[in-house]
Formats: sequence, structure tokens, C-alpha cells
Amino acid sequence: MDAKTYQQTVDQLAPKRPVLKNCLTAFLTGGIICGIGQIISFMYMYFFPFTERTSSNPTVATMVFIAMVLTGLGIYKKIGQFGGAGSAVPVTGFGNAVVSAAIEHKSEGFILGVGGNIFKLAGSVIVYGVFSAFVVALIKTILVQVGVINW
Amino acid sequence: MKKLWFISCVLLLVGGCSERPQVTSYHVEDNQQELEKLEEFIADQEKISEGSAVFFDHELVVTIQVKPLSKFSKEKITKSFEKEVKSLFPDHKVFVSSDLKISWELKKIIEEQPEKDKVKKDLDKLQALSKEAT
Repeated sequence: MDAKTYQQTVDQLAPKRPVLKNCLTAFLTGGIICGIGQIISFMYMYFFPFTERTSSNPTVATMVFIAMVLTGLGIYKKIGQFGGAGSAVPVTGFGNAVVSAAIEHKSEGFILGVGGNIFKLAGSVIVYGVFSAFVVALIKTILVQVGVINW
Repeated sequence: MKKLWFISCVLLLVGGCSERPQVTSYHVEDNQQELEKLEEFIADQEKISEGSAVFFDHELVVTIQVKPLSKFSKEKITKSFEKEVKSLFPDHKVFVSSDLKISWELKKIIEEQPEKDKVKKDLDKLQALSKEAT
């Protein structure tokens, strides 16, 4: 059996993925998470001296904190099973990735286990986040120097 | 029940489509001419849904809320609006913001209609708040 026929057999036997349903649940879950984020942002603006621009930082921190607590309680796992990418793409997915890795490796000790593995998943987010921020900043700097746009 | 849903949906739609922006304003020296001039100007704007303004001793603080579909070009709209207001009131120090928080705070000032000293303090506070970046 060559690779092509093998793949065909796999495609025939494997259960079909409900793509449309997955997209819909991801859309709903992501939308609800972002809606909660917007409410928290409004709360920071209403009760504290934060503007639309500055309220984003505490909102992100709060959302990550909530996701971390929910991960510890085992609730975020259920949200993830239902929402898929809808729960992983928003910033709450970052909190979930950090804490779930810490919980998983707790048995290996606090230094080599938790400390060494806590950014196992979230590390890639940080690395590529920093790298893409660098690239975007570089492009913008060049455009400003050339005179195409302003800061 | 179905009828109620239908009516509330229609009301929401119609409410969302209100064409002219809502304007609230307050002039400490009570110059109605200047107030009317600015209110008319804001009411004629197509991409703005709400506007508030306070006049105080050759100082003019305006906040605007851009319509949802125009929010992608909010900065541009705010800048061009500021330019036009400056040309309308050349002898005033104009400050324009499209931030929601600044708009809420300015509305509070308009509702309270405080005295000169307090207005100056509040407006200075507002402008300092809008400059904060982190």
C-alpha cells in the first residue's frame, strides 16, 4: 500500500469533522469571551480613571487572571472542549496555556517541573509575539523615516 | 409575545438609524450664539453619533462618538473634525477627543454646570487624563 492509497483509506474510515458546527461554537465562545472583556473594559472606564486607550491593559490582566482561576478549577477545560479555537485564540487562552502546563508538571517538582515547563506552550506565544512586534515596529520605523506615514 | 419581539426589534432598528447626532453643551459665559453655531456644526456631521461641548474662557472642549461603522477611521475623523472646529472658532483653544471615558466625564460636567473655577479644574483634569498613554 503506497502513501496515497493509505491516505484515501484513512479519509474513508475517519469520522467526518463537523467543520461548520465547530466554526459556529468557536465563533460563539470567542464572541462571549470578548463580550465579557468589553464589559470589564467598560467597568474599568466607569469606576476608575482609565480611558478607552489605557483600560486595555488592566482588562487583559483581568481576563488572563480569570482564565487562570477557571483553569485551576477545571472549568476552562470544558469551555475549551466546547469552543475549541474560540477559547484558545483570545488572551484567555494564554492564561490557560500557562496554568495548565504548570499543573501538568507539578509532580516533577517546583524548579524543574513547574518552573521549567510553565512556558512550554505559552513560550511560543511570547517568542512569536515579540518577534512579530519587532517586525511591525521595524516596518513602521522605515515607513516613518521614508515619510509615508506619521507616528 | 412574538408581537412584542417584533416591535422591540423595529424600535431598536429605528433607534439605531437616528440620523442627526445628539448634542449636549454648556457655555460658562452663556454665549448662545457660539453654542448654536457649534451645535449646528456637530448636528450636520454624518459620521458622528453623539457630541458634547463645553465653552470656557476662550477654551473649547469637545468630545465626539463616531458611528460604529466609521470606527475604523476614528482617528482620521477626529483629526479632520478638530481642524474644522478650529477654523470655526479661531480665537478659541480647541481640544477634541473621541474617547468614551472623556465623553462621559464631559457629560458629567455639563449636567452639573459648575462655576468658573471648578470648570477650569475639571477641564484641566480631563485633558491630563486624555494624555495618559499607559
